[in-house]
Amino acid sequence: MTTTTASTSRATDRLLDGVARLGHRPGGDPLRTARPALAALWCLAVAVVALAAGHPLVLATVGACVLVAGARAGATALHRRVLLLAVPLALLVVVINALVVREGLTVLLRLGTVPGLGALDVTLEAVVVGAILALRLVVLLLVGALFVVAVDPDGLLRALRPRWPHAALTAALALRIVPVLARDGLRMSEARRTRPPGAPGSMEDRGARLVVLRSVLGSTFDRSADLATTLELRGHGLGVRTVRARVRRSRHDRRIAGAALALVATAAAFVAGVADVGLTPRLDVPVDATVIGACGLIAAVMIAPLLSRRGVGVASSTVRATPPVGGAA
Amino acid sequence: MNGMAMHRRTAITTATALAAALAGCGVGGGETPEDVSLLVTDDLGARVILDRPDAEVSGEDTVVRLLQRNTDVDAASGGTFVRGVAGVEAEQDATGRTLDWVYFRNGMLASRGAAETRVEDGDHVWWDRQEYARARMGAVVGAFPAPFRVGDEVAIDLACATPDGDACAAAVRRLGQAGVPATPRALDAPITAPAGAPRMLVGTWRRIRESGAVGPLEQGPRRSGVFARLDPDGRTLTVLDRAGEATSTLRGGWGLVAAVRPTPKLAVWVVTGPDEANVRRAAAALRPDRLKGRFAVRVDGGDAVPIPEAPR
Repeated sequence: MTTTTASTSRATDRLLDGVARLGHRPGGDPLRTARPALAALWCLAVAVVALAAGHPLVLATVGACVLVAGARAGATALHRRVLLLAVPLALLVVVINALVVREGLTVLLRLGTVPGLGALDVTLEAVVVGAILALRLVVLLLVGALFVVAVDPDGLLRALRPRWPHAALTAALALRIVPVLARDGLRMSEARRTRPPGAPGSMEDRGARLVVLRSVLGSTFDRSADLATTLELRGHGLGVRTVRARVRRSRHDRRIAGAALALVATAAAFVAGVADVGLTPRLDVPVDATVIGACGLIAAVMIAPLLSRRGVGVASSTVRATPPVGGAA
Repeated sequence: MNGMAMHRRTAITTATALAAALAGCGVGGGETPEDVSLLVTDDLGARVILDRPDAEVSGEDTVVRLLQRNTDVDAASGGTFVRGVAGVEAEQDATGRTLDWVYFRNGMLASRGAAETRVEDGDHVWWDRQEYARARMGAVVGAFPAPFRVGDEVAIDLACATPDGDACAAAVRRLGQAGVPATPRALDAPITAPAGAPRMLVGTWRRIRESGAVGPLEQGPRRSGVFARLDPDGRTLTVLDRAGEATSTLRGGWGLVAAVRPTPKLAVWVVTGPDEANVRRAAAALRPDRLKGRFAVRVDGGDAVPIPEAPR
């Protein structure tokens, strides 16, 4: 097997291994202790802020806070993997934007005239627009990773099932099935190593490698939907009234929910023009009291609820079917 | 050996392509052109929105960047399509007309996008919001002395029905005053000007209509791009409004200065009238201040009246 094939194969296995390790792990921090629906709402609110904000300082603040939240929620290793994947992707976004967007008045490079495309000039404004888009992409990927680690999919399913039973089941299965499929992919990769060099499906067979990756990662929702349908046909959730276990509220619920609402309000402010930036044709990226205040507010709203150590250690998704004897906790 | 030869060929081809690509490259904005003017009007010149005889330009600006430096621009598709200039947006107005922004460079309707065209020395860039489908507009007179003089470059093919007549002399004089020295030839004489030089035909309509290239002026704006129609008898001029409706019909006592574009790269001007006296008056209107911002003009006595006219 050539060096290139071996290194590409190792990269593929690392990717599959990383995906296989995805998944929620119960923990005692506020985000994992709060109700899954509220934790999911918090993550969604952060994503909405990332989509609404256009100022690079604000986006960087959101990203930093997501990393801090990830450290508290045990997502640091996953965040590291995500960043390794996201950085080249972000660079690609910047380069493509710089070549495609013709707006901006500060020309950095003139790349001549390309037939069909015309004058190809790289402007500072286009580069900055691309950088902001890239930063937003990275932040969204980090939020997604945090969601996967911090939100209990079973708890989310229980919260959503009364209203959207089929969609809740499909979504929960999708979250569960990705690591399973990735582990299958790793086993398939191991099996390919046993085949003689040059044989179809061996490590040199690049087509086979792509097929493995595609089958693992590309059909998640299809398989989840099929599985959900199968489970429902076998009676899971079909008109059977389940006993709704009472889940104890905790102080983290209120704080996480309050933070989510505050973040949504902040996002609305950004949409209305607060901390707005001008990107084309001229750059106007102010760093004034409003922007710094917005960054401070976001950091406070995001981080403060996660710093509390009171009441942690007991996951609120733990359900007691019967009261304990003697009332002991 | 075959493999080595193939590798060598690939390397040479790649290096050549790279060199060709890099030949047009540069760091920074590049050299700034001089004497660039910018005009922005609405509805076939009815209203002037912006007039910058000495427009702000920096480096090898494209036409759209020139516009962005000098006014607010609403551009779509990554800055390649202009939707609005100085708050005036492309739209469908109350009468159902679809108004779009188009630009003329040195008196010729642009054939390439504004983001593809770089501004050069002496360029006259003219943006107008108009009902593009109404007229097959190719050339306009409002950038005079362009296209005959652009920066330091001068090119003209001047053909007169009567080379030694007063009308031709008036045209030569006005062109000279505008920095365009010209030696007239007879209509049927061989062309001595460089290939592709913009042409000016001076003479009565009955004489110059036989030149062929200007025949569409008898067929209206959808063929000629000029909101006027000449009759083959050479005596009647029908002037139209922006909707293509006739506003006045003149039989005698008129002059016309208009431009058409019979081929993509050739502009042909006509300086004409029903008789030599009116042709001379039309030639006297060949002044930048008289023609500025006009798509065509009819000459009435000493006045240059813009075409298209206001509706009756």
